[in-house]
Amino acid sequence: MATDDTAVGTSEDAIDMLTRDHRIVKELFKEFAKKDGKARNPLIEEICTKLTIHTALEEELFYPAVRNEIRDDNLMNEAVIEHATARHIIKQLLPVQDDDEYVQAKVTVLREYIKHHINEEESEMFPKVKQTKLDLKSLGRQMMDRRVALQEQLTTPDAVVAFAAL
Amino acid sequence: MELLMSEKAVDNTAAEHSTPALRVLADDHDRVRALFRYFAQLEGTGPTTERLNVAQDICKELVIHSTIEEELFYPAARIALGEHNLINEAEVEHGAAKYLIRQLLATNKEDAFFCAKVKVLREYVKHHMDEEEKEIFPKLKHARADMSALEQRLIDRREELRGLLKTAGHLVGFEPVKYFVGRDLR
Repeated sequence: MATDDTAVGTSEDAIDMLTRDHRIVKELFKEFAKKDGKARNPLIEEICTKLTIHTALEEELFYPAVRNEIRDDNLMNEAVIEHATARHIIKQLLPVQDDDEYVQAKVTVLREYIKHHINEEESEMFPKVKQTKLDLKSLGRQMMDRRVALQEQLTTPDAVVAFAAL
Repeated sequence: MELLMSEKAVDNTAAEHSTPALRVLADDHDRVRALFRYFAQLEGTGPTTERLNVAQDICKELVIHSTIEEELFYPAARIALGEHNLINEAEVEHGAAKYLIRQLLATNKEDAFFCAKVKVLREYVKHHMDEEEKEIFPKLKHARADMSALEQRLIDRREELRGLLKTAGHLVGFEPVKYFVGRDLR
């Protein structure tokens, strides 16, 4: 499974990093669909943790930098609201409870919302960003530093929920 | 007769659903779609008074509609279809919509995110209504589910809720609305 977020080197620019995150999460959703019962729990935790780190990197660093450059507040505001809705579902998934009859449904809805959000970013936001003079390499380095710190912080489902609730 | 036929031709979505109970729900969907379309074509930027009013109407329609589905339609559909995944998904989607409705009800004229909240709510609700009309409704018709008793119960409960939520278009801080959107799955 290609799920190591830091291995591909620190020279990645911001958009490459975010796009790779998107691929990884889509793969994890596919893995989830192949499994049953409790075997799905580690995958759910991994998906929720990765999404929480990814949305934090975007909201803390990528979106503010982009908002200054592309001057499309509607697009940026929608992306923030979509993140908030995704976190709302994540908070209902973690910590995973074996007797939760809605696990399958929550993951399915989360997958659909994330897919929609990824499509909007990759087809609308990222092309706009690439036309600006934003230093994506420098931004990528800042995001990698923050990613490492978040990975050290969000090591348990409880830590993810606590962070997502902020 | 001619009038009836022309009405039917205009109202495509509802015309597909010949089962009366499903038609009640499809009519609700059409009304919500029309409100979102109206919202999108309003002039000006940000949370104007007219936009806030339309958003309140949208929230009210959605609260009433999701309540009659959860109380009456989904339990009946679970029994008729004998499967739960589709209905569970529908309930989780209601939960997400209610989360956004709570955000909208807390909106004031200074909220820079107001239009974004309505836009995202529109996308999610559209997705949800399309899934119901394209997946759940056809399955129920295919299963020849007996929904004859449900139509009147849906209409009666809808009327009752409309009476409860009749507050001159002002939903903010209104207790029945807080109650209906305050319940999350878990």
